[in-house]
Amino acid sequence: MGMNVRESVMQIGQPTPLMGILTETDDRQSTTALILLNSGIMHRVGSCRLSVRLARAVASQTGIPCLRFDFSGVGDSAPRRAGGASFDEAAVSEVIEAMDHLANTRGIRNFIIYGLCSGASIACNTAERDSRVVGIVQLDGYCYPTTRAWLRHYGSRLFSTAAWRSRLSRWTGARWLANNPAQGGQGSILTGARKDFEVPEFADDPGRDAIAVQLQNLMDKKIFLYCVFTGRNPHYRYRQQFRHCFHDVNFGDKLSLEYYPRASHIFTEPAYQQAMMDGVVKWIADLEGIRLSQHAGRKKSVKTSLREAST
Amino acid sequence: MEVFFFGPTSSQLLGIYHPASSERDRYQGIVMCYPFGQEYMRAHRAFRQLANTLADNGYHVLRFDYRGTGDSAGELQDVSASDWVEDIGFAVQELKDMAGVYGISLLGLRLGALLAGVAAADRRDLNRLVVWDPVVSGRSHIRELMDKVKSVVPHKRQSNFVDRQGNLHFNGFPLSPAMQRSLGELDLRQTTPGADQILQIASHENEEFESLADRWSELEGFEYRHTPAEHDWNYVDHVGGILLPQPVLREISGWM
Repeated sequence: MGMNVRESVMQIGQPTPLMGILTETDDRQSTTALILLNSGIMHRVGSCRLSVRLARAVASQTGIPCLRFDFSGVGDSAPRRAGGASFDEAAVSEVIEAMDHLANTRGIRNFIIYGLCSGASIACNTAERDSRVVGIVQLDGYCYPTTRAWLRHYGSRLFSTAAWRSRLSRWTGARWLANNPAQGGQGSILTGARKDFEVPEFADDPGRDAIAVQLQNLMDKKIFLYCVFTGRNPHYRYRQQFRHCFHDVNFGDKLSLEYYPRASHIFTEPAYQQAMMDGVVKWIADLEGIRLSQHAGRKKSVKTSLREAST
Repeated sequence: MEVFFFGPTSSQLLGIYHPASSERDRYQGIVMCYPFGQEYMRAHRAFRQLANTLADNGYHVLRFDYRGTGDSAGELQDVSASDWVEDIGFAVQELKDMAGVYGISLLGLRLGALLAGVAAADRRDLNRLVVWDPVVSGRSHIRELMDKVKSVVPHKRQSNFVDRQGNLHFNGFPLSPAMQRSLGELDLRQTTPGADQILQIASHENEEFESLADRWSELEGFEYRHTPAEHDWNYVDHVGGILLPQPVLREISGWM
């Protein structure tokens, strides 16, 4: 049984504010907050309303306030980008703006950032720039195939009739589309010239080596990382793939990995929705516990030093 | 644009108010009623764009999330269709109170159109009703989802299924037995909306749309328009793509 939570509208910045919803309990003791980011162009409630449910679960069970907000031009925040900044650059500045707002209005000093897909990448980029970030939850963030992943992926398909059937239908479908470009297939993004359909503009993939450097930077900054991968991600085939892919990064005890082989990228399965939320709440509660005990330990050692100095 | 919570303390609803352009204020309000589930996610941007256009054209517009959806309070498993019809009533009252408008219209897409039509049947204070690609019959809609669940491909069986408690899970959103029952009781063909003018706008043609048009053509002020546009709302897009059916958005704002 958790604490009661309440939600309020938070307008961040002027003259074109970013629109957010803050979930918090009456007990405003926490100096850590969770910020949940947009994924692509989906608005702040998140795929399958997961950002709303997760924010309420985290606030209720840990007392940590949670802010979900829309980047400018996404959801209910008006566009305000100018001067040629890319979406990703602007997004990082806007997360920092949201952190400043929570610091000024709620006395928050530390932040955990949560992001799915493109949101995961923005969370890492923000943590590189701002030392107030102490933890990152990334769902289907960057990872690259390893030899074992290739073997698992192609080995299982070589003798699978379903895989061959799917391959054949893709080939015939591709031929059909080539002959019928106006059709496109309902809801697909295969045709480029559809004004009535909008997809997110994704940043270029920086590549494994650049991500490895970034991850090492985050580890050097002592940022805790909770990575969740889903099985519908064609590049991710086994639980430890992230560690193996980034074998040259010294994660120490800062990395926690979770892999849901049968979950879809946007968690349409209710069982995985619950599992993912439970996992994130527990990781955040544990992280906050570790941080508080470290903080208490530091305070104790300072007091001891002072006592020793005075005697 | 003003964002706020309204409605009963026990079930606060998120509302987004777009005030009318001051130079063109008609002193008329429009409450926009979202569809449900993946359709809601996919329609959010189109609704925002339409709300902005209508506000520029002089209307006071309120978008809102039903209880148990979006940013509003509650869980989906705890609500029924009659709660959502009641929420439309709260939204109408809220818009009247905050904007001081002389008249109100309702505009709904898919399931939102069904709810708006049912809400309109209980009212005598509406100027206009717009039903866009409406779910004509709640019963048929549930049956259609059930049929899709039965024929689902193996790797989607953990997303689309009926659980032991009878909850119908479809593309990431559950419909409780109470919701299924209450939706099953709603049918636009059995309602007579209390609006002076009614627009049924169809981005494609099907038998249910035609049967509704046949039934409502008896009503004074009814108009049916077929405007071909994208309309496949209820699917899972892992890239997070959304629909912006511009021909329909133009048609609606022009008609209003």
